[in-house]
Amino acid sequence: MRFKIDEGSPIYRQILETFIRQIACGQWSPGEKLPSIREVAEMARVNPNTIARAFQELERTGLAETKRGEGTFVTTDSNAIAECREDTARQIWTEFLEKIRELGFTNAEIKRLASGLKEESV
Amino acid sequence: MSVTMQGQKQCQQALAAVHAIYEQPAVELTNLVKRYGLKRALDGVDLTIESGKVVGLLGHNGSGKTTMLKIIAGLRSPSSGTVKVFGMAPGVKTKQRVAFLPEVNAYYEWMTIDYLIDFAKSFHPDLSWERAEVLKKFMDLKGESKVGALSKGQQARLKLVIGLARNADLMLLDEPLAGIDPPSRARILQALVGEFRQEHQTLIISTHEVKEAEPIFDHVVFLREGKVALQGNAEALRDSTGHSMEELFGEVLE
Repeated sequence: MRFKIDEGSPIYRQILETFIRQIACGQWSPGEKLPSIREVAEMARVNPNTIARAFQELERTGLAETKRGEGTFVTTDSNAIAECREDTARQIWTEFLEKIRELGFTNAEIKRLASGLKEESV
Repeated sequence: MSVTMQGQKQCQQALAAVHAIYEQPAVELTNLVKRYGLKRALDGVDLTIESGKVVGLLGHNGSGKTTMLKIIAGLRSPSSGTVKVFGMAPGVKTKQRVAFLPEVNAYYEWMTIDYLIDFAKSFHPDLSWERAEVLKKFMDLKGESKVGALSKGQQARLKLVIGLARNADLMLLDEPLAGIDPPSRARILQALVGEFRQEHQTLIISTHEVKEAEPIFDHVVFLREGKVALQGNAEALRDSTGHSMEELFGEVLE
């Protein structure tokens, strides 16, 4: 696991987002055990208190749960994961729209692009 | 009183004692001044360092970092003001719980690494051989190597092995990364994060190489000309200023 950290914004949030994206794209399966706080701290070379905070927030999203003395596990609630995947997609979609509108693209043009994509891919 | 009740009571008392230690600040400095002749190395420092934190003491050379660490370690006495370490004035009692790792290497060159660890254990009985073994492997050091034959990076790693093997409640590290090759720096930071026990330990690390070290800090203290120029929780400062600690170092101290 690799973490790219931008020290100019809160680090716990970046660790949290990394896990959310990885759970959303299925890099961690439902019910799978996540690495411990200390393991993540060592890998990322980040303060364990910061990692603990990221894990707390991850639990709050409902994507993971901590079992006492056992560790933190990805939720088995597939609806929660599907929802998170949609949320993440919507986030990326919004960012994409902002960028492409800056280029002066209209909705019709964006739709035309999207339909072209459908034919050439898969 | 029944046996179980008595046991429960003892247990509660022990827990209360542990909490009292934990909630007590590791270090409290009040209006601390240290003069060397006419120069004020520390010029009225007020600072409280909570237990269980990794603290970055950041400042240029000559800003007072080393003086502050030495006073906390009990190796220098202040000209005025008060110092408390775990609620006590620095002395024999606090020294048992404090490890100070100076920037300069003070080890005998003719000793082998294993001999040196034995030697260190003779005056630090809390040093654990098992921990030293594990750390030695992690730091890629061989017991039979002579101290005098080690590179600068290896010497820095050796210092960390001996410091961390003690598992002291308060560790003071003076410039552990200065002038060391990048792979050694990465190893040292990884060992610090991996060995740090927030349940009872506090780390104060002085450095002017902020970029690499800053993700391991809970709290940062910027020192300028013997005064605290800025201090706070690192994540809160990132959130409120949008800057890294390295950028703040430039802004606050230039």
